[in-house]
Amino acid sequence: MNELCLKSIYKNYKTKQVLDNISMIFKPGVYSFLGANGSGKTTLMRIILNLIKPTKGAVYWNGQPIELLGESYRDAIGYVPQHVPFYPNMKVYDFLMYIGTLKGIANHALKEKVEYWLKQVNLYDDRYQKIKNLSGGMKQRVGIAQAMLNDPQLLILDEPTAGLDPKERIRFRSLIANLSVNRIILYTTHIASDLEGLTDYVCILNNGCLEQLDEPENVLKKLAKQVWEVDILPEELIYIEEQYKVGAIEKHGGRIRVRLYHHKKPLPQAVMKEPTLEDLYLYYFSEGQST
Amino acid sequence: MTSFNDENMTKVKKDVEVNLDTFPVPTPNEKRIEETIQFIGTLLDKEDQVKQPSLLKKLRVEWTVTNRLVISLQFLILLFGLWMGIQASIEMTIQVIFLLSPLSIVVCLTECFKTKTFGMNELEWTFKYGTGQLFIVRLLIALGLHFIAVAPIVFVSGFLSIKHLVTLLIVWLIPAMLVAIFLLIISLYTPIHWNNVYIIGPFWLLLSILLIVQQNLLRLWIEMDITIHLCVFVFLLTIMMKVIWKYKEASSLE
Repeated sequence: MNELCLKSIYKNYKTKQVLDNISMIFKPGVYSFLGANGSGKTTLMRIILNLIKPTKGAVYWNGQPIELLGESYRDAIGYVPQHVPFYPNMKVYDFLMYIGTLKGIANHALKEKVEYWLKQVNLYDDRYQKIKNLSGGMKQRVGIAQAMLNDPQLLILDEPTAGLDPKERIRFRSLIANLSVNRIILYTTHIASDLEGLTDYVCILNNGCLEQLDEPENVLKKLAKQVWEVDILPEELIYIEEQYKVGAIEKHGGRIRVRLYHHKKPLPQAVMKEPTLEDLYLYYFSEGQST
Repeated sequence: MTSFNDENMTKVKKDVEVNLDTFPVPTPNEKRIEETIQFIGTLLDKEDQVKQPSLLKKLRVEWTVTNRLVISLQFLILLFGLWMGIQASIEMTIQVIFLLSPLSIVVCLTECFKTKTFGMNELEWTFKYGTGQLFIVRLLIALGLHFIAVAPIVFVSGFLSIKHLVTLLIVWLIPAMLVAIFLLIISLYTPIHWNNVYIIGPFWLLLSILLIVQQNLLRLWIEMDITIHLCVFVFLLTIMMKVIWKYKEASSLE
């Protein structure tokens, strides 16, 4: 069974500390990294990919430091970057064939693999389209296909659903769920709702520190009996925001329905709710409110 | 010859049991079993995966994705140069070589820089052969195309004496390398997603004008001793390798 191990990772950019003593062990499963912009998610992924070196600490793949593994580590990884670039003038099929060769896949197997993954990501009918003519969601699926060509044991997805419409997000989620068997999937996002029912472990990164790493149910337990929903008048919103940590706000008739986080019943009309991963995200990363 | 029947099998089993009793083997723990499996895995050939492709294969694959416009332009340069070589005087042809060779190499260099132009560094670093190796392969294609575009002009121009030929090859290699070094340095310090074509175009224009204006300097340079040309060539080659190394380091996303 494959294992990825991070040992005391620190990363500084000049005087700014981006990652602060991150130690984790990953076994096959989906690990979701939740964090606000600038929390260090992308830097951590780049360190795991051996694209940048940590200031201190090391990453081990099956007990070996990744910088010593070189090519054999790169054989084991698949990566979907945050902004999928690609060569815009290439056709989808040609692009995947090209990437497959760069990944060192033998010719006789490559054609088969490209066709297989084009079907899996539902792009087979569009395989002769130029990449520049594809929608954002289709480009993300090209990204997944290229990452999967070498059958990676470690798949890293850096905010893959950013910029996708809801339908494409759902389709993307199903695709990841299908891929998660016997692989380590690291998935960074700040769209918590994407992770519902998908992730095996939630990792919360805040200002470069690992706040939590646990199964979603256990992480959510920490918010149990702290999530409340209350209907208020629009003019009361300012007061509520000053007093409580506020999550989602939505219009409900002439009133406003507010989701807020507090250890005891905040208002007489407040109704306790089951916490969701979105609550968890808002609890940790909403700005400027008191608890 | 006796066949291996049930009776023999029973005897073998008995022998194994006796031997196991005589030489007890400790049962390995789970960790040891796991380690042995992992180790055996490293001894097996990985099917379909993943041998470093040969340089020839890399070149072939890269050639298939080289911008057709760049290739077409090389052939246009070649045709124009040949036409000039047949029609015009030797001196005029040398000038054409001088002016066309930087254009040829800089157009090819846009291909070398395409990783940076399209922001593919991050992804390509995760492949079996990464940006650094890709750059070298693309550079080889660029130099190959450049050679195809310019070398025949030299031949057609009638410089079939070996000494002249070598001098000419070195003479046009040097300005081409200077341009390459300059553009590589510029590319190092330009932000990602900048299209290098917009830098290359004006630079070539400037160089061409400079060469036309400085005809005497051009003649002086061409007529210099071949040893000087060789020394300059080696010197520039060293600088170029250093710049390419620096380029590789800078592409590491740090």
